[in-house]
Amino acid sequence: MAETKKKNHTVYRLPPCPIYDVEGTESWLSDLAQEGLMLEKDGFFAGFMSFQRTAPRAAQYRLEAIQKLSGLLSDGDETPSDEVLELSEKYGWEYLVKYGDFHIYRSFDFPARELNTDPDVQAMALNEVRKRQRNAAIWSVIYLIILLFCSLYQQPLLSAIAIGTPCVLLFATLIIWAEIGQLVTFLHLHKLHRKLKETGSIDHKKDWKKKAAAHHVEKILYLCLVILVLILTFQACTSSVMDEGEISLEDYSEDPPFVTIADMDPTGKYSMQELSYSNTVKEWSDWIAPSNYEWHEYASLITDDGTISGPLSITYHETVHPWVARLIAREYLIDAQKSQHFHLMDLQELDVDYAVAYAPSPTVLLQKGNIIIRATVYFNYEDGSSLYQQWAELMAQMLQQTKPEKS
Amino acid sequence: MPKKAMDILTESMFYVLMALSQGAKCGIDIADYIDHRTFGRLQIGPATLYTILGKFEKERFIQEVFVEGRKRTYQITEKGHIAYLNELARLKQCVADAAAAEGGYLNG
Repeated sequence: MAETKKKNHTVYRLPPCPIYDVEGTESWLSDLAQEGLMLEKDGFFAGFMSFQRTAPRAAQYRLEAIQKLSGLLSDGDETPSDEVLELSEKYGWEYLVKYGDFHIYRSFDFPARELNTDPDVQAMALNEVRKRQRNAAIWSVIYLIILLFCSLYQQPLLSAIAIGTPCVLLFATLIIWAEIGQLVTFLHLHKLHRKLKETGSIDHKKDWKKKAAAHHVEKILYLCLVILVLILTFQACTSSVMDEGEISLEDYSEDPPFVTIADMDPTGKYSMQELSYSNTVKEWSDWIAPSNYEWHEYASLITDDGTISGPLSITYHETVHPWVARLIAREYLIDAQKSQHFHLMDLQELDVDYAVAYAPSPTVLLQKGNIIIRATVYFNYEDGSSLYQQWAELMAQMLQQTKPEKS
Repeated sequence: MPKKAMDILTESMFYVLMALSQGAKCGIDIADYIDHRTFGRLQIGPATLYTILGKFEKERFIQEVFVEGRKRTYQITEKGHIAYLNELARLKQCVADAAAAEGGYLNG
């Protein structure tokens, strides 16, 4: 257990049980008082509790459910009203700190009049917290469903490939973890509420040590997960902003697995336009698409039929499975359909699993097996005749030669 | 089993309404009244008292009439008074039933 000492004898401890474990928290605080650690006023911050080291002394702690909805018990800032504090002090209870949905009080008087003398009323107060937890859980599930629904109309797979599938999966794990956490909180409060109704009391001397190790491990794992997601997201963002991994085509000596402007006529005279920022290639790998390319080329090619000139933009993905490639094709098409001027263009029959061409920018989408390729073919002849059909045909032939996995 | 929490008042709730039916009071005065009225038999805790006041205010059994310094004073509403009288009648009936049962047992 983390412990740090300071000059003023303040000691910090991580609670060994969740906030909603009223019995565990009360028992733990009382046990610490027996060791000489007294919870400080306002001694809860960022998950840690601060204690003053004093002589060991018996003390009893109580967690009282905050009644947010009434507006009666607080002065608007969720701290108990002066009148509540006055009456509590009259019966020997000192208010210490707000702790989640609870207020923590302490008494050194034995016996002190209990803060709660009516279990039905205490159950009623606890029910307010339970209802808040239930509502929060319902809203977060609704929000999650809406998010999932919306993401289906966005580009979840392409986003995962761009950001990194591990990062997306870890983020999803965090969300599911939080959802389960809310459900566990609700169920625990429900159990406590039922216990109060049935037995009329709660256990102020619960054995909190039994589940302390598991709770700490869970907290550490969650923290590690959050840190990991933050690091991976930061890396993805900086990589995107800094164009990390992007190199100039002049420095690129590999043979890409798709048709470039030079491939339109290998006997032609090729020259790259002096726009270095637009002649780039980026290669990267991901769990669901081990091989990916972003290709931007601006060149001219003198052929026997005339001069081809203009830009070519290609996005290429070699995925782990053909159905992933097909889903990505769907994402590209849905994204293109959002354009006000979207319309399909003619495309000859090609020996691929899926092929479509669309405007306003002349774009060809081809999928064969686990390969999906999207090319925006801006280049054309001087007379303006478009070349996207020829590019698609050459690309289909190349895909045929690469013999990708069968769908 | 009551369907709503306020269908049957708990003892603490009943005494809070009793205190307020005797005139407007603040929380501390209500606690003192109950101590005095029950000769200390029923001790109402601060959390219990203020949870009840919050619930009663939400149910419009009571209303805040004025705030003086740290104290908020409440008075019982007509709805609250009816709830108090209904509970009183129910308790009287309980006592009458018990007395009748006791009498029958003695006579038998």
